[in-house]
Amino acid sequence: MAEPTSKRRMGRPAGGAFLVVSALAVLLLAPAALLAYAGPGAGFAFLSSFLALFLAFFYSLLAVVTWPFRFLYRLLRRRKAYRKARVKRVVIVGLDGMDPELAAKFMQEGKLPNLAKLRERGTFRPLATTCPPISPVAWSSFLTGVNPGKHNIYDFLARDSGTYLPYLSSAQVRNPKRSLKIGKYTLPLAKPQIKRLRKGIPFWHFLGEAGIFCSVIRVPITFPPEKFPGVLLSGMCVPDLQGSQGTFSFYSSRDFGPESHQGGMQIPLEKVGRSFVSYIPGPENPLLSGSKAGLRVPFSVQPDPAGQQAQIEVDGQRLHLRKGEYSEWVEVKFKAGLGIGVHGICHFYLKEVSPHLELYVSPVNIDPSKPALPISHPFSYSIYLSKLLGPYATLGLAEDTWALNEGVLDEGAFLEQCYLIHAERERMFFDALEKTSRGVCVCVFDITDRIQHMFWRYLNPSHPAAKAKTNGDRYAGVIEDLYKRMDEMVGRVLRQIGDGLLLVISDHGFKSFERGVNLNTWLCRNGYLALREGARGSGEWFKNVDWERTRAYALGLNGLYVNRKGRERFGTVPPGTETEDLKKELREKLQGLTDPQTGRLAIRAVFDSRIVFAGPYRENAPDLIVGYNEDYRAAWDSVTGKVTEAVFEDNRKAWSGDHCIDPRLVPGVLFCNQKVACDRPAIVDVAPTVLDLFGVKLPSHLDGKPWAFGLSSPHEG
Amino acid sequence: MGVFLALVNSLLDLLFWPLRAADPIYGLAGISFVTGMAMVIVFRFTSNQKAIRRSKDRIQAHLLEVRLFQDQLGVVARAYVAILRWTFAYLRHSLKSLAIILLPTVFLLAQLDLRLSRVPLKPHDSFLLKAKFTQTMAPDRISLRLPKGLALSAPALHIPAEREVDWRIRAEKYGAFAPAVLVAGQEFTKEVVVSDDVTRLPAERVRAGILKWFVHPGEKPLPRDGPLEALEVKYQPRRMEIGPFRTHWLVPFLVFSLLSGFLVKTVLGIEM
Repeated sequence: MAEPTSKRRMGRPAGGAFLVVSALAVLLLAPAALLAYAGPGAGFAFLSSFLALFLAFFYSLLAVVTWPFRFLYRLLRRRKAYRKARVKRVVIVGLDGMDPELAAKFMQEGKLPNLAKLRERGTFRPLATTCPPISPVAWSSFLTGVNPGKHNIYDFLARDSGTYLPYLSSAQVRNPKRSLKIGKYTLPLAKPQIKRLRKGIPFWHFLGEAGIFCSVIRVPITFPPEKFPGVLLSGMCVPDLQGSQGTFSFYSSRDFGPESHQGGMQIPLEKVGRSFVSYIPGPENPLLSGSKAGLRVPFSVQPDPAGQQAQIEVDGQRLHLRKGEYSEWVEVKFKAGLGIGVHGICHFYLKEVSPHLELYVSPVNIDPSKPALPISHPFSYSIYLSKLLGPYATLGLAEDTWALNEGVLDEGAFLEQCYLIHAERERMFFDALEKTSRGVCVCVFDITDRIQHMFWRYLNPSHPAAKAKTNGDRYAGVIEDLYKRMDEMVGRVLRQIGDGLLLVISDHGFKSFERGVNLNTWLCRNGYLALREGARGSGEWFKNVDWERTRAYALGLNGLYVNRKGRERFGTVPPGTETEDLKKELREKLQGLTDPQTGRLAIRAVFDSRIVFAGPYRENAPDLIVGYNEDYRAAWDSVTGKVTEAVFEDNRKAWSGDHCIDPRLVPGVLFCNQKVACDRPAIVDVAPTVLDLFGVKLPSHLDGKPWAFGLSSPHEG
Repeated sequence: MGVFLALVNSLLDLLFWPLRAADPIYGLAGISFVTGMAMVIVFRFTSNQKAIRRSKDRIQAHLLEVRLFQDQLGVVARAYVAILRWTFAYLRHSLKSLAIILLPTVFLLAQLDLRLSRVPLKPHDSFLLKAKFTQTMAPDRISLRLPKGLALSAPALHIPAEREVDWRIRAEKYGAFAPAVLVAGQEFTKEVVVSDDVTRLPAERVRAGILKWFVHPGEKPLPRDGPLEALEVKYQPRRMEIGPFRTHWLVPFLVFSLLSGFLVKTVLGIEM
């Protein structure tokens, strides 16, 4: 053993410094063998940091060694890729649902200086949307450059012609094909099967093949993520851990009545001593085949009524929440057994402490740092964003509109949730912008859609869902504030993009939704849809419908189907002339349908899918698309295939603005920092326009047409 | 310090007592597991877990950044700088806890070294007792007094250049003995253990000094102003046998404590 070599006398530095100095002294002066190891703490710390440094060094070495070859390859490829490009970078900011009329109004009032600058120096136009004007349809046309007949998305939902039941139109998640059964457990031997139902090829694939880098953030209908030479984070239609499009949980210590919450679950809190216990519902156990019992994460809440706060213990974490406060993202692990778990994240919101304890838990999002399903391309991109920026919402429809609709969250809590999620999205977008100095950076922000859906009633005090004046005063400026914030963000983008081309677009505009039309009720009353003997209503999803006497039915937001023989399981209408005649008859009767209470026109137009769609998937479309008038929309019950008492009803839900109407009434916006020379720009034109800007040959199947710009000569790559 | 060390020695003696006759690997495994767990838990409560996690996340993020944006040299270069920056931040956040853990760990290692690094003498074994002096001493001023059970097997060997005198001694029976080196009328004893058990084996008795005492806790130090610098008994080094492997005790200690630490870290979700 080595002898100490130093006999320096030390003073007595205070506290931590003394501790550190003493420890270092011992470490330096101790026998050599002891230097080899200093506890697992040190072991982990040093191993981890050395591992990081080693990996970094390894990557560096690899990068340095291969750099000349890669540089040469890239140089040649990029020179070729950008040779015909007229721009170095295109940035597309998607503001879902931004309305051109409102934007024009606020610009006129001087409230949107950055967007006004774009209008003055570049372009501001209405952007024609798709038929029907629904986000998944419009964004699918945006990214593929084709009409719905070629991308196969006509609504959020499609219907199974065998069962008449709906399914998510964009993706299907199924259990793995191969598994191993051991006792009660079924071990998956493969990944879950995720089938993309959207057809067509996104424009970033063509760009990637041409050597142009793209960052794509949260564009709707990009789940499951497709491989391409770039990075992508999936958006709308990414499910939560339960496999739904967002199921919140609401907990209360009071007895729940018979009412249930749409879009969420009511779960009682059980009193144990001074605390309450309950659970977060999770997915079905993937290891127990045939078991419908879902996994759960238990938690306990200890309320402090005097302090109007509560302490929550969940999955080894302790949260302190005051009334009306959200937690940060809480990581939860649903344990399936055999050491296998599914990771999710959720927010807790303490709604009430006394006299009853009430708690809201957001839908459990897929944890982006340990994704149970692929939500990005490459797979590690979601992990990268999570590690860099912290956990973030991954659910497609992350802003919990149902919770506000059902009164579980109030307006203030919903707004706070929206802006929390938006802040995450902004951070991702600006990171992507920084990483995409050349190429295309696309990001879609959903907040504009969600807030307008839920706060439109405050623009119109006579709306059936408008609340008392106090609330009206408080929230009257929410939409204006939203537009201002988007304008401020656009300003930051403008400052960052230099000479890049900026497109600010929306997929549709907005109108008030005051009256609902129960289309299935109308069909029933007019003899097109029949109920079983003795049934007064149909129940959800056509429960009591007598299909053998039914000729037409409505499902989804705008779709109307003929019960066609040979296509539907119990089809009654032969294809060909009879179907066409029925469609004609329905069109004639529905176009001009008037609301007897208001005397107003409820349906402006009914579109024949054979005329408005073209492409190999036209057969999957609804036979007719209903174009409602301003202030009208499909009633809530009609969307879910229900026959109700009245054809028309007031919409008293917080969801008070909508766009699922005649597409000509709800165009989106197009802002650009260049002059766009096109009389009637449409969302379907964006893909061909971007390809054209980079000089990539347009595939012949595209329906959109590239816009002309007042740009100078091709950009030198 | 002496009382404290005596207390710790007794405590460790007590801990090892049930395992005295067993293969030392079992005792070592138990202590390693407990140490690993304890250290990780101490780390958990003395460190800024949030900051450590943030640092680790950032390191991972920038490593992924290098991979994801490998064609963009500017991004890659900035990522390397960030990796270095966050690695230092990570070490900085770990330092306080490491300092707290380091002292007891080194102390424990010294105690384990006292028991596990050497094999006790057996009857009929010969060994060297070395006396190291502060200055050259005349041979006639130095003598050795042996207790019953130990016998001199060769005359004393004086090495003036090294200021050292060596005696070759033979153990004749089991027991703990205290041969005394007499220097100019002063007596200095050194503990010698003849045993089959796993027991405390202080190989060296050194002059007083906190640090030296800290790493040689087996015996009371020699007086600071005395003529002797050290007394040493040459025991055979011990090698731990794990299956076909023979290794220094530090290796299994490292493996076992890391394993248990990793287990606790995973179960309790501790950031390290």
